Amino acid sequence: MSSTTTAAAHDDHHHGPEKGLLRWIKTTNHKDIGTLYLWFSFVMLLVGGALAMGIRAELLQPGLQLFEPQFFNQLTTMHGLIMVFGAIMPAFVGLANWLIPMMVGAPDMALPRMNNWSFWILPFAGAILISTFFMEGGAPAFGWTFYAPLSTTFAPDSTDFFIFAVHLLGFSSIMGSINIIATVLNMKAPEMRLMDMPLFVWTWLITSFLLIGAMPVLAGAVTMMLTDRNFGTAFFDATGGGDPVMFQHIFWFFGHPEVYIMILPAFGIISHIIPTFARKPLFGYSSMVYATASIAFLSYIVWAHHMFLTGMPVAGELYFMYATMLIAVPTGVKVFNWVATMWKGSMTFETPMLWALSFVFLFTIGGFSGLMLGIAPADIQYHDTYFVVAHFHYVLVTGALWGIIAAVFYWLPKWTGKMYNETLGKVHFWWSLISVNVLFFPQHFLGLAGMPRRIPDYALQFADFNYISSIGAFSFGLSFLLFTYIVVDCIRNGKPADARPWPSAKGLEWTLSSPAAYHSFGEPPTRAEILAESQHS
Amino acid sequence: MADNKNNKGAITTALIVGAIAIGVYVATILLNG
Repeated sequence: MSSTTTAAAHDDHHHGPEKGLLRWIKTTNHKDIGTLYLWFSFVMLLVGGALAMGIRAELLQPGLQLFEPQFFNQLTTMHGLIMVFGAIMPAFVGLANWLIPMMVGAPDMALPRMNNWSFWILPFAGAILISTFFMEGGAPAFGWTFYAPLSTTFAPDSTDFFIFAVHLLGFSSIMGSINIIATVLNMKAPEMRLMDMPLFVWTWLITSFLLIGAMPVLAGAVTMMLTDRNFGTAFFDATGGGDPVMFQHIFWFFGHPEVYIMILPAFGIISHIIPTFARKPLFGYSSMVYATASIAFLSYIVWAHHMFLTGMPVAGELYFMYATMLIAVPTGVKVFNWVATMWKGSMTFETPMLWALSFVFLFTIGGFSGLMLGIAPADIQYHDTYFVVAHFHYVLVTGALWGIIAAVFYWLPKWTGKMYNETLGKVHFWWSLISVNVLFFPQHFLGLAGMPRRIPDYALQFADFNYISSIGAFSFGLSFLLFTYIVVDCIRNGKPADARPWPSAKGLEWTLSSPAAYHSFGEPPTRAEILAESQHS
Repeated sequence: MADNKNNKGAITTALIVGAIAIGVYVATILLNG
């Protein structure tokens, strides 16, 4: 069946969306909710990015230029919290909302009303979090890891609002993952088998289970913080028989899976884009699925590699070091599979492919510096330095954020029915690529030379690399103005896009018209259609 | 028209997964108590 006929068969034009603002408040449509998530996360990205600009402006030169040290700590804390919980995670949930039902041939998410609720909690949680800046004592200033007793005994009053916001964000994430699990397991086309599912669906299914195991642990941690602060308990207070180091164990039992929550869906996205522009089926589909599951499992048993300096027994350090090293195996499988997919392919370098290719290079840099940090004796030197900052920004910016931007360029024609400006897309890519490396690469050197993280002032020998890093930061920040222009220009003035704007793209979403109709897959795809669009066909 | 909605199954799945999440939350606090 041609894609045009299929598009007609799968699009259902019974009724469109409501008009006006109410459409967005009351909507239960997965495409609307996906759009809401994506715009919300973009606004939060700009807010978190503005805080980052403040941080880098202060660090442009040694000495205190702009902010008091306490306010600088508020900036770093809120930057981390907003980027992790407000930008990256909601952006992936937005992509999941838009894409998963279309990829599995389902008419919508399994629990659409809960889907609406999951989203609409977020703006309130975000507003509560940001409002702490304007409260007496200022915003939380204890780092995004909010270690006790900094976050309990010595924290500002606004911490209780932070705790409430984290509860809400966790609640939203848990509901979102319940919805994704129910959608994938119960709503996929009857003729679709698990090993037919696209990699983005697989990675999100596994990510959802990570969220179900990890977010309640975070919720438990902040609940205990709340009772320690207000109700006289001593979970993390040594004077009352509690244990502050236990906070770190609980936090990182959530925190390490959280890292993979933010990167596994990006792995799925890259696994779609590379085969399309290499014009070859994905190499090693099954091994990709098993590697993703292995990474998810390992992410639960390595948390204390963040805590090598807490004085744990050598046997513990050895265990966590070797377990951490193991993660390189399934991650390596993925990188080798992407490279093998490109091997002898007829590659072209449209904007999504540029983002995907640079993801493979730059994420691997972040992975390797992670291996360095995972070596317990070496971590004594690296711990709490700018080397750690460089590492996790290579993973989260040139990994997670890169995957999101790649996805936006790849699926934008399907969402809007319009093509973005390819020339501007490429200009934006090269601008981002150069500036992000100017921003983060020198931070490796700063860290190796001993510059601690979370400080507003530094010794003179760190001045040059900090100056370079800040220039890169301002340039990278500005590049998002161009990104905004490209997306808005695409929506308003873009040329009409075909149902399958990338001729080699595989996936059921490409059988739908562009833009995809408000309601799609009223009738599930057949086995033949599923096989024809399968990633390993 | 084939029905690819499985509402009962979806609700059962959601309840099971939600119960696991609540269990993890309670266990986190109890194990540290």
